[in-house]
Amino acid sequence: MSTSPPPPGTPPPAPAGAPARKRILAVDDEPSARLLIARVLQRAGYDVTPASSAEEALEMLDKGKRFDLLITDKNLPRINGLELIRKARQVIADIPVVLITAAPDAAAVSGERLEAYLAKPFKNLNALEEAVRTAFEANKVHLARQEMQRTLNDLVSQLQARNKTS
Amino acid sequence: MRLSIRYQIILLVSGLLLGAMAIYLTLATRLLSADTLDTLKASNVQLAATLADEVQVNIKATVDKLLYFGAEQSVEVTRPAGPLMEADPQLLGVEIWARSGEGFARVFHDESRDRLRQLGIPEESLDEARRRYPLDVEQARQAGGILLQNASVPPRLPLLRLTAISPDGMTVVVSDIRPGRLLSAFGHALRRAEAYLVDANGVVLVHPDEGLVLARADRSRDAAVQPALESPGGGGSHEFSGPQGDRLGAWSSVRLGRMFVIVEIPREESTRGARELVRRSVAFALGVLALALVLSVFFARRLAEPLQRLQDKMESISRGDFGVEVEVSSRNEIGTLAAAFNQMSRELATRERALMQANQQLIQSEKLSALGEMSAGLAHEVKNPMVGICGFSELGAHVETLEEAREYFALINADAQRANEILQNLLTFARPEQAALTGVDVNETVRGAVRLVAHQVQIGGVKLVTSYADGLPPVMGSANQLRQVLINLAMNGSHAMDKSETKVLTVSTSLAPEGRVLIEVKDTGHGMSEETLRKLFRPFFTTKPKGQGTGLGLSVSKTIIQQHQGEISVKSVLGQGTTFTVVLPAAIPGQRPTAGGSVAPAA
Repeated sequence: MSTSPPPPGTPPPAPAGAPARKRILAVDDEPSARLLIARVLQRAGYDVTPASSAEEALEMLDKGKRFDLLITDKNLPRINGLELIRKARQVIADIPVVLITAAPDAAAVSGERLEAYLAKPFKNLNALEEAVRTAFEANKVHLARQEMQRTLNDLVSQLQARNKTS
Repeated sequence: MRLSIRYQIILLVSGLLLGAMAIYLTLATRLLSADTLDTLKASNVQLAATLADEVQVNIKATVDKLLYFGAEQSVEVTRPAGPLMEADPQLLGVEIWARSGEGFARVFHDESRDRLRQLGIPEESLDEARRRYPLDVEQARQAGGILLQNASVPPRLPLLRLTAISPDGMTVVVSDIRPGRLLSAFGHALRRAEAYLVDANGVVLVHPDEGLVLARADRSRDAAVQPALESPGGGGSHEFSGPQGDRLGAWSSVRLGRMFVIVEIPREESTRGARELVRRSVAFALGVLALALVLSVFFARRLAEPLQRLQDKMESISRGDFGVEVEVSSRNEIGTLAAAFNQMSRELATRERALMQANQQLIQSEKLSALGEMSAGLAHEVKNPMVGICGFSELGAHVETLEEAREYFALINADAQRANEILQNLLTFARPEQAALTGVDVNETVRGAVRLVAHQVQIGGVKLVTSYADGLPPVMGSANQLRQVLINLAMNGSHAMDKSETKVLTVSTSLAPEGRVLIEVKDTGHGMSEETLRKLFRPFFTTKPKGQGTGLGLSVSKTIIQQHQGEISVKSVLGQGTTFTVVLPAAIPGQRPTAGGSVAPAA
């Protein structure tokens, strides 16, 4: 499975503030849903790689392919969506995730950090793009917070060190 | 081996008859023997007395005649004895002795020599007899004036010498008589009775067996004779054992001279009547028994035949052919039984119908319950094509080329078809049974069931593995009901794996022995305890929390499989998983399963 070409007649708009197109891994066992997700996100200017199962997606990750976002259906045969997310994050720790699920509460219980939810069928196609955007934003926030946390931790440890020496 | 009623009746009748006969015969024989023994003794005594009388009368007459003759001769000595001889054919000779001085001298003698010749007896024999047994007046006097002696001379001459002393004691007349003269009296003796005359010494005087007379047989030591010789006179009877076995004896003394009439008879004569009675009674009893047997066979057959018919009908009922009736032909107990049987049969048919309806309703409601359980999966199943339909139709609004629009329309159409197919499948399954008894393709049915549950099962993260054998024969029954069973088994299996690490549900079909079809639903769940396995197919038994299961799923599944003449069984290992096995008979023409025969009213 390779990246589908952008739909004809759709100008690939570059995301603001990013020179390269964001790479998205879209996993859904339903062919038409998979195709729809790919088309819509490609129109929105993303580089979409579809996968029909968690196994296929994990194989790509294992082979070293890198993605900026993972969008997956929760109900996948054999290895379900949440499991896939967990395993994907073992490869790319901070990858933002959009989970397609009818029950966000049940998914939240899993303890996995989820940047955005999406219900099937999608309210409209904007909702799909919206979810992806939200996920990137949430990830930025998440990364910023992590950065700040690290800075804070550094400061705390420097203070502690100084207190000891004085 | 158990005896049929017929033989029981026959045996009972025979036993009763034989028992009654045996008791009757024993009593009758005992009474009869006791009675006849007494009678026989009495008649023996009577006979002896009668014979004694006859002998006495006979001898008296002879003696009178001889004394008269003697008296005449003493007056007129020359008179011949011819007329006397002629008058008495048994008289062979006569002598008259008259007192002369101290003794007696023969004054006259005459012999019937012609008669001796006629009888083939040498004349000398008579002389020999007279020589051997000369006149013994003293002995005659002791005997009362009349003495009868056996003077036989073997081998030819059986002879009695009758000595009579005239009342004045002056004349003694001696006659030679053939024993036959007295024997005639003994000829009338009882059948099988032996009657004879002995003198005071026990020597046989007269006996039907001439040989004994000729031999002058001495019976003084004979058990029959001894008591007579020892008795003072008169008569009596006794029982004794002789060389001829147990015998009854009687004697009577003859008042003239010292002689005894002896009568003896085998003791068994007393039981002759009884034995005869037994013989005839046994013959009679056997006859009655034979008749009774023939009659009981006849009646037993009459009794057993309607019972046999009843039994046949019962067997056909037990094969599930309810409502059959047996002809009520008689008004006896069998008739009542048949009527009751018919009543029962009708009631069974009614109840069977009611049960069928209830069953159909139960199956239907259980089906709806299963649908409820599958609803989440089904909703997801329907939502999937909806994603495509909604998404592509919206995307289509922004297309710039017709080609692109066509592509989306095609995608929308495909998804709509799929959604329709799912709903159709669901509706078919949910619809109440429509009396569909058809040849069912097992693989097709299993595939349909798997399609319906696939999503629900996969929601729980279960891996679904299917394998279908080729060339399976069709089974007869209802595809929808079989599908219901499979859905139930698959849902149970997936529930059982909720907490398992490995979650594999295997559904497979294969050919079982005897042309049957085997369907297996295997999970890798927690397995079941012995306790659970035992209660598994009971209605309302459930391991699920309250409100989550009806507890009817497996019970209904079992009912459905049984209605298909099939079997459902389960094997389970705790912690390793459970395998349900359904075996269904192939639809062979002529073999009609009873499943779903009636139409369940829509609830």
